[in-house]
Amino acid sequence: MDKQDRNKFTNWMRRLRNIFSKSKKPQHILPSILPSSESELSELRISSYSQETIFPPELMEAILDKLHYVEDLPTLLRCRLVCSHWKQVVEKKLETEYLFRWTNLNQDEDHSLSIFQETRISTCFYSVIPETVYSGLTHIWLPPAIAANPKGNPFPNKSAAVIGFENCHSGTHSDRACPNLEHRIESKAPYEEVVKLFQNYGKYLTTLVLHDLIIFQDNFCLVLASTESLKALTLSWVKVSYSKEEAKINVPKCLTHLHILSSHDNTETFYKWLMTAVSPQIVNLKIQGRAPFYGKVTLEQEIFKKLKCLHVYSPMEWDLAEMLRKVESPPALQHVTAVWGWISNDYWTVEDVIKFIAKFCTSLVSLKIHVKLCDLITPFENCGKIFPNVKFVAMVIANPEYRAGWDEVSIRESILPWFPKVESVIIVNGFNVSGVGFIQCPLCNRYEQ
Amino acid sequence: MALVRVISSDGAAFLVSQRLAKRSGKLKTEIETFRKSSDNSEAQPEIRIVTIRAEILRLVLQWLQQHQNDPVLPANQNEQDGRGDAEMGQSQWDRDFLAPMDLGIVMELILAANHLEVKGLLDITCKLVESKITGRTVDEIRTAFKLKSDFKGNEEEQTRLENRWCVEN
Repeated sequence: MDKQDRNKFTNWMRRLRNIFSKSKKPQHILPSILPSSESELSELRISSYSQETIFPPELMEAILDKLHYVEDLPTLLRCRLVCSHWKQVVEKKLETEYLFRWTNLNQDEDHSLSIFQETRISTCFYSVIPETVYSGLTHIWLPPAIAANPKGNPFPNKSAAVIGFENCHSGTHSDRACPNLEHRIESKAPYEEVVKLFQNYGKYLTTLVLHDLIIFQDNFCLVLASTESLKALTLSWVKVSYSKEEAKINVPKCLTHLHILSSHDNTETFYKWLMTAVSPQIVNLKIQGRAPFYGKVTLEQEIFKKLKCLHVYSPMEWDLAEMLRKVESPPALQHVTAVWGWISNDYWTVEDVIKFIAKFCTSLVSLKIHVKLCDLITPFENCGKIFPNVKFVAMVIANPEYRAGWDEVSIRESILPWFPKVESVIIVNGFNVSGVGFIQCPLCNRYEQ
Repeated sequence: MALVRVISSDGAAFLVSQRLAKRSGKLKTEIETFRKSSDNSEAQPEIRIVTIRAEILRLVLQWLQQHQNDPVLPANQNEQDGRGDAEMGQSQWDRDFLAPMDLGIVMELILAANHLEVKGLLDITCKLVESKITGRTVDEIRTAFKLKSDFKGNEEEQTRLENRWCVEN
């Protein structure tokens, strides 16, 4: 080694000492952030990460977030088995993902898409235990080994969907539907197995979908009474049967965490019970078809004390429209969706919607409405209110031809006078998700057609 | 060119341009705080990163330098989906950059990217770790991540039974 090489080596060692010395300040500043050679960098690569390193849960979540909660569910479930920390992270992720199906209020294009989907479809499709309950209560298929000797919590993802008769889809979904099927359900042993599962493990659930069911009152109460941690509940075409026509349901005082309710076409008596029991704590309410408002349960603030988000899909009942028209003091709603599908709706007009939202014009942040742009102007002029905090507006149109003539100028002229702070306008063309196309207003500099 | 001195936990100083440093949310905030509190507008900011050692800090800065002309990703982009960013942002250079690293280095890089608020780097490193999880058995994951089972009693067996409800056909 000649003198030049020795000097070079000494300098290099001094540099390394500076880098790895914790107590000593560096004698010089590295002139560049880049290594002088790749070999130098390789020598520096001595991993200090070990199992003792505290890896923050949020970063573990960031890694596991790259896994899809449906497609990669087997991988996620394997991760539950790695260690107790990973188990906690996976369970939190799964709970968050499933809850997100109910609480999706993000305003980018993809998320707006799912807002306009019927929640009934999306929740049932993504909820789990399909292998055990999907095929319906009359012919529940449980893996034989587990059915013979069930062990462990069957809801590791904290989510369950109990889906009933396929043939109820074609019925009227009312008290009159399938009148002779109740006994068939009750007489089937597997049904008791499901109730037993809920009694033993329902406490782990945070989201639950009951769909297409006719269920006796007592069993229904047993199921709900066991779900003490439930946060989101979808009830779709659920009929609760009673021994007497006017019998009351014994309300289980357990749904204290429930704050998201999605409801579609359930029976009147059931609605009376449900809304009386949970309305004061509901933050997010989705209604489709038959209205859950009967008797004294209306959308007044004193009844729905915490309601922030209201989604009304296909309000085909005169009573619902009438109730919304009569509401004097609704809660300070922040997010409102008023969408009716391809069925012409004479019960609830655009004018009714505008009058309704005008009652809480200062709290409203986002509005999604099924309307033609040109139909908005007159109702807004008539109501005479400005919505100072609305940042997001979406409009759904059923017929593509309505898109004609929508351009930046017309959108701006139509929207801005009433929503001076609006940041984003999305126009969804068509009601079916498959047919959706977007025109995004240049208010957010992203205009496409 | 305005410079900033970034000092690692083990005392190594890196002199980088402020333009480059501001690609990190954390460094940007620190530089702006320094500017507000300093009387001398010409003074060179000095930022100590007490949680990141020299080797890792060097890698972060190296990645930033390579991506200095990329658009800055918003912190919450795709946060609900979690997919897309990594695939969209990963170049051949990124793949070559990450290829020789062992998992320990990558995990440290994740911590550093998170601390320094470098979303693009966080995305690609998380994606890399995710790819090392997918398709592996529980034992393989434990080996790769140097983890040991810390379940008490029969909790692991119980968890395995619970999983069967979701994956059993």
